[in-house]
Amino acid sequence: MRLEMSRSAASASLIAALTSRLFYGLTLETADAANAGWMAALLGLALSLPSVWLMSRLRPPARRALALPLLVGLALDAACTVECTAYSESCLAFNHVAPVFLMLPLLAAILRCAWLGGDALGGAARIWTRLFAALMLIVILYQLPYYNAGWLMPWFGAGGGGILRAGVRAAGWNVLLAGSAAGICREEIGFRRLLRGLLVSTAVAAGLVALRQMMAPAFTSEAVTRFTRIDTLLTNGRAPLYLQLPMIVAWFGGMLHLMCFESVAACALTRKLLPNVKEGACMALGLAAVFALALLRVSRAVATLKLAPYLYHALTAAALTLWLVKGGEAPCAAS
Amino acid sequence: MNRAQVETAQGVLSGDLNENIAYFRNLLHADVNSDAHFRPFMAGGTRLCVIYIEGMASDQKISDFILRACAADISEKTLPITPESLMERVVEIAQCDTEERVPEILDAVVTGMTAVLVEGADAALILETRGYPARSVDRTTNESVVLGAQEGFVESLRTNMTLLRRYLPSPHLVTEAMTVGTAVPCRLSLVYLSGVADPEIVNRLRARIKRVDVPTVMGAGALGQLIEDRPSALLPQILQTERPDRVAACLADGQVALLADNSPCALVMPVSVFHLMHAPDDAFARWQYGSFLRLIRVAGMLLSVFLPGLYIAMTDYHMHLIPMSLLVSISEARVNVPFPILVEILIMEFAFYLINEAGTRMPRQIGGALGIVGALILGQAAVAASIISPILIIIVAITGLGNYATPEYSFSIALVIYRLFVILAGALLGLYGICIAGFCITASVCGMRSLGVPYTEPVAPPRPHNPDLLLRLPTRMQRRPMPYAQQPNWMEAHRDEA
Repeated sequence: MRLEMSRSAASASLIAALTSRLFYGLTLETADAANAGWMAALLGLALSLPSVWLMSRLRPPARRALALPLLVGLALDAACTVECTAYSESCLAFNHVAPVFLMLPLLAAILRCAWLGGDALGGAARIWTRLFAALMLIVILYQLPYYNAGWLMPWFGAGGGGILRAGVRAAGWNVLLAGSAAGICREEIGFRRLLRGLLVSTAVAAGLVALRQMMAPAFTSEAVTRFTRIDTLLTNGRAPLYLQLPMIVAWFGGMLHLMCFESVAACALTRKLLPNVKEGACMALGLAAVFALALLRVSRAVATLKLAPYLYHALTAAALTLWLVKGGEAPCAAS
Repeated sequence: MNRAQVETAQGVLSGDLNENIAYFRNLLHADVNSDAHFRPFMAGGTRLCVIYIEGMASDQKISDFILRACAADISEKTLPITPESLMERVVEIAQCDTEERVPEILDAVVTGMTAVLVEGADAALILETRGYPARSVDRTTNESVVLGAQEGFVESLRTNMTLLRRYLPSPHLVTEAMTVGTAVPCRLSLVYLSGVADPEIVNRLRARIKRVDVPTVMGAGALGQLIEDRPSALLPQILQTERPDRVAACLADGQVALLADNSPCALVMPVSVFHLMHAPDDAFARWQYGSFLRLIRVAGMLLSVFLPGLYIAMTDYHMHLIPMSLLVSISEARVNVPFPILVEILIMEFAFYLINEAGTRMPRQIGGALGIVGALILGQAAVAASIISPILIIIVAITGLGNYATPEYSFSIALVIYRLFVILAGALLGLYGICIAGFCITASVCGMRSLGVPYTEPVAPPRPHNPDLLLRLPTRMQRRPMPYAQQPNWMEAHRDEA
């Protein structure tokens, strides 16, 4: 099927999407962790591992049932990402244009990507990871004189509670994206491959979040507007303005991969839930859900601020329930 | 009467020479066709007739090795005269065969061979007498190199096959003869290294050629469009090259080539996007030089696609990204230009490619004049008239140079079209638009296939490969064949031994 992915494509997409999700989530949406965002990323990894292991060991009927909570989470998160990307463009150069209009090109890109299929997206993600590394290398080399390790202090930021809350959110994104990667893979992806994806994404995201936090003092208040956060993120704190170019490319590129992976996964999971419905119709249903949530801006109000912290609990509970009710221990996959 | 009608009308020869001659005269329209020749003669008391097309067949070969040989050598011991006895005892031409089917005889005659009809025989003798004029092997015109072989393919299929045999003198080199076109067949040769090329890929190509259902195919370019995976895609999915050394290198990597009669180029499949970035002389230079030149080339290609779009995005929407002194200089240069930057760029792009296209079609004697006109229009006059800004000339010049650095012609045209897409995206949405356009282009390229093989293989999906994609690492590290090759294969075994 066109929407499904090979193991290597799913693995590359998971890395590209999850790195962006963690970086974007921990720098823009999680004020609680303050300057300890990188620790939250590591905590998120630790928290998510048991759930991801459970998901990777579910039997096919249980996995099919898990598609429903994953689908809901993906649709909301994809809509959030679309909304945030459009908003960041609005901050950057198009503040006179309604964000809804800025979403339309993104939705066209998602549509094109879904049409091309999962393997095309996986291939693009593999190329993107290399380009992303080159872009970040340029950014880091140029920013080197401006890094201030002192801004990582105190180590635990606003306290353990804040790190825990941010860690739970990070774990939610880990579980959502790793579960989706396992769900849309046409072969058994295996826990080891998912673990590798989680480790790489978390390491890169935690490193980038730490570097980002060494560029400017942390915002500790929820009251700081998202505009200010995005502006500070894209202007690299104190580095010269022209450095925004690689940073902007890295930001939009990462977000595009994230939203396309989530949308294509939503379509593929819709197909899994409705096996008798044609692939084209499933694609239309999945994308319609994402588009509606994004264009109506429901996601901004609901998903990011209220539902995201519960994503981890919900998905873990679903995986555990399905394990107990429908059984686990799927045959081991070649990793 | 077309080929199908011929087959249904009769199909085979009768034993009556007059009837056969009349039939062929009718098929070849000999009453109006001045170059279809029927030369009856007697040998050993039997009537024979030579059929050939003047100009396609060599008169000298026919006179010396058929007519004279028959007159001199037919004796009592040759009798009775049949096509078989002529072939065994009389005719002094190496390539000859007997044929009973009329369409095959007709195909042979119209491609320059000679048919000898014999009274009382229901088969004809077909003799290789091709002698039509053909261009001699010369330097390549579109794929120039500094180092390495300089000769290129010509329009003769046989010469091209010989060139390939010279580069790969191996008993494993297979050249399968095929035809394509239902009404006027075009001769093809499917070339691969047996035991190296993946049989599944070879079968896939055979099947695609068999599926071609058009009356006639005018050369390799037209054939490529009929057998490629996705005709609607912008990028070429088949490598078209006029260099036998390049084809030989591809065959050694397990790829398959198609040569067509009257086409001075070969089609190589499957290819990846990386093949289209490689120049033929990369392998001749030391790996450090090859890698450096390849990097320059890839940077040129990226600039040619993205530079004008980036310029328009940054000057229209992201002025803060441009260092102040450069921004002031750009603003000063544009102060008298009445058009928006998008219009300015489109004017320049159009003028550049108009001159490029005119230069390609123009007779060589006045090509120099075009250079002068181009330089005046694009440079001095346009700036003086405040139609464009000087900085835009630099942008378009770099873009054009980057485009010309692309080794594959079709690929370079695809890059121009992608560039227009990126310009529009940049003009509408700034960097945001360029990122979206870049993402869509990458995803499209990753979704393409060449003869069923992913277009970005071996990077996506990952496959074991030689370190010879973007960079060339030392040749001692290049022990693996490309992933298209059959695994394992005899070439790989020899590489391991080395």
